[in-house]
Amino acid sequence: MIVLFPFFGNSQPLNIKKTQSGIFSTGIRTTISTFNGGELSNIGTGLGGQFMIQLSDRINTSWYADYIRGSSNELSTRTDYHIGWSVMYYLTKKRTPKIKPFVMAAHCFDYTKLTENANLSNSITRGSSAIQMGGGFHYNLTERMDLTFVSQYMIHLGEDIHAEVRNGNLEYEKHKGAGLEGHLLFHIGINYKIADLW
Amino acid sequence: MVRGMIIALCLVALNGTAQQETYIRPGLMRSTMTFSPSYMLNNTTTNYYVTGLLEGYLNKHLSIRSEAHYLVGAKSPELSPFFKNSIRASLGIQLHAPIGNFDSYLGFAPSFSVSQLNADIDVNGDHPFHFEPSFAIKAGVTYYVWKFFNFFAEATYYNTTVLNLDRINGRADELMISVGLGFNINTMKKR
Repeated sequence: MIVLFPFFGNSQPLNIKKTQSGIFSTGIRTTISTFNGGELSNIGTGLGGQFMIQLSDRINTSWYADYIRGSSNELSTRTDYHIGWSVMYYLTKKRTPKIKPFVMAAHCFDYTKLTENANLSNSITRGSSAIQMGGGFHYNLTERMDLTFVSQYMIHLGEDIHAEVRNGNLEYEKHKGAGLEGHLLFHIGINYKIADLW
Repeated sequence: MVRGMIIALCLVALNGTAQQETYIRPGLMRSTMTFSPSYMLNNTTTNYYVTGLLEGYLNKHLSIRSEAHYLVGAKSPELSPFFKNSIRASLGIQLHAPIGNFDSYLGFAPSFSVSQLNADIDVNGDHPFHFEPSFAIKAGVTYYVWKFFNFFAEATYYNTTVLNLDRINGRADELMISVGLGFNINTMKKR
């Protein structure tokens, strides 16, 4: 169904009613998460999806969810669940230029779980919210379909959790307060414009 | 062997291009099921998957494609193959550069894998399941020999890391080769 819907919908032109406000699109994305817990070596890979509702010629909103897995250290695995929304400000009013750049800010709720590899019952979890800032661009493949590239930094607003290895033993720690440690996220998304809703 | 088949495909394509109706156009849909050997890049295992795919062309240069791979066997010079069970699935796009009925393409697809590892055994003696996000990058060629058939050859790189493993290297990148007969149909009339 996912393959067939854009396949047949693509034969119809995207009818724009007045402005670009109301364009509804949906898609999937791959996420690469770097600097997990401040360590460049702990790179995570994620799978997610989003839908977008455009509010004006220059403003679009993205509503997304991601599932990201990566190492926390050599003895522990980190799993992140993100659900949130982004506001994108386009640097051009053109509807489908080949490249459509934007800056963005975002907010999300996240749930993080660290699990010891040798003992899956030893884990620590945290729910928090986070803010993101970044930028990217749509590469428009057709009037309806684009590849979207995004880079953004996520700062967690909540308790910090991390794993420490002491004397060969894995210990989890939880600290209150916010810090600049978070993720540097890269997304590659595929989006399909379904309709102009209003 | 694969290189030879690709060269053969190119020669057949060049011979037939001037004589045939062109099948690559918006509305072309193709599907196939084939066996795919897959070489793990971080250990010595060779996996064998059954591959199924469904692809639709949005225009001559862009298609959307879903794909699934089911592990049916593996061999390794080591004690046991890396995967005990594995399923991969992906959904992505492909960019095409067709010449007549000969098509070459590059693709990108977000994907995931569900797997069990031979070396990963929990305290109950079970092999835990691992659900891992991944992505695929693909390159290949297709020659549409008739309105219902095509020959294809392609290589796919899957980036995967299996996590939550104790003293096991979970890097599970694979280079998968798929060659065979595909089925295609034009679902829209020529404009």
